[in-house]
Amino acid sequence: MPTLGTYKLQVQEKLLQVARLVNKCFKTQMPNIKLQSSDGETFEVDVEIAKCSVTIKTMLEDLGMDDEEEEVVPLPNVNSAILRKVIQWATYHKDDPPPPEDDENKEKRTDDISSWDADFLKVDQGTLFELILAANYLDIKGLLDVTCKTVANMIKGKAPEEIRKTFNIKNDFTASEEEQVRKENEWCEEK
Amino acid sequence: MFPQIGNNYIRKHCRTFLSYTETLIPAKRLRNCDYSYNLPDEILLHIFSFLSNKELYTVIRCVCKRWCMLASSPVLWKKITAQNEVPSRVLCKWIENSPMLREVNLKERSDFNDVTEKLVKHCKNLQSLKIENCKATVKPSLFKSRNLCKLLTKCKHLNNLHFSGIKIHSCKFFKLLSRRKPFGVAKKCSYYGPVNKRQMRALIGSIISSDCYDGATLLTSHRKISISEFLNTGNRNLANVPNVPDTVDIIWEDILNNNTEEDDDDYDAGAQMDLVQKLSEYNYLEILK
Repeated sequence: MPTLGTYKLQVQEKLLQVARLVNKCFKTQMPNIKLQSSDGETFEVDVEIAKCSVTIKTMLEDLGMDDEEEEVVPLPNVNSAILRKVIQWATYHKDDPPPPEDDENKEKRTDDISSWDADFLKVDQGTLFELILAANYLDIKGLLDVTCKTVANMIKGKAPEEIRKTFNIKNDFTASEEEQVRKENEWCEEK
Repeated sequence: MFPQIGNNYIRKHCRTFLSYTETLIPAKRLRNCDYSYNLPDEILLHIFSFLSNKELYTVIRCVCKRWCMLASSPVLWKKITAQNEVPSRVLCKWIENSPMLREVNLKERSDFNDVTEKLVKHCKNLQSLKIENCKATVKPSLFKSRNLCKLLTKCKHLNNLHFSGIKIHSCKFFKLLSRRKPFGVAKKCSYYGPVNKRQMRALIGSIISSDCYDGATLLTSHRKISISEFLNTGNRNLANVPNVPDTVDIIWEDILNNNTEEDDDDYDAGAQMDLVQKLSEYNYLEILK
């Protein structure tokens, strides 16, 4: 026959358990995560939005960081200007279906960039390439695809010289090498 | 969880490094630098994967040495699409230098014989072949279906076939078309073009003998014939052992009859022969699986 004392203890323990559960529920419902850019600025983002980055997602899963709310994820490869853009992109696309796996038989298109993305990517070249690097580092397939497509569109329809000019690329071919390539390409100049 | 020391270290040094470069390089100079230089190879390859074979070969290759090296990377050459604008010698070179080639699409070209010979020689791993409105050679001549037959027997994973607007004379090709059994049945296989009765017999014969004809369907210009349904229809007297010549005869008759029903019934024997000829010119055939 349990005494009143032990009974009280049992009740207390049960109540604590319930309290913990409730607490956990609240936490998992609206958890935020802090991301820190290379220049030290912290951004507070919804975990679900941050998880569109596979890098952050695996980091959270591997380290079980869900429970500790005060944790800050440092992203030493991304500066605050770029991270702000990435978060803006991820917030807009948070309800998108997961991007399909690369199907090799599928035609690769570059003309299917949505108007929001096109507007979003109206930035200078430096920012565009930094966004590509950030998308690659953070492993955000959708952002990587759309930024790479934008660059591909900048390449399309241009002659090699125009491309060099657009991207400030130095022509490091020797005269004889260039002549050889030019000869091989005569067929497309004839038209 | 994360080493805060390391983090601070990076932050501190990033800052000093940034302020250092900012004072060293004027803003204008920064704006004109080659940003693509900092992209790792795999990202440039990803960007290039959105470009066509022609753009890779004629444009990207000429920009600089690094781009040239990347543009020739086999990963970008898993698929070749060529219309008549690409000269034979260039296309053959592409095929020779693409060890990872999986998919070939040819359209409106007149070097079919040469190209298939190259394919036989270099592409054991071909998975998909699509040929539309091609001629055998520049001068009118027959398709060397020997090469096609070789491809069908040699490429184990070639299970996506599409032919249209070509005229093949051999029977063996049709036999092989449906007999892809040892390597698994072709996922998708279609042939839109003239067939004669002998070829039809070869095709149906091999579909039936491969006993994987469930779902195989012949689409003629007039109707859809499901092979299994056709064989299972009792009144055709084919209930137990499918007799190939009979089946072909019945199907062939069926096609002819369906055709005459649509037109006037006044055909004499001579006209009927004509009709067979005409029909086989416009007949198209599709094997669906």
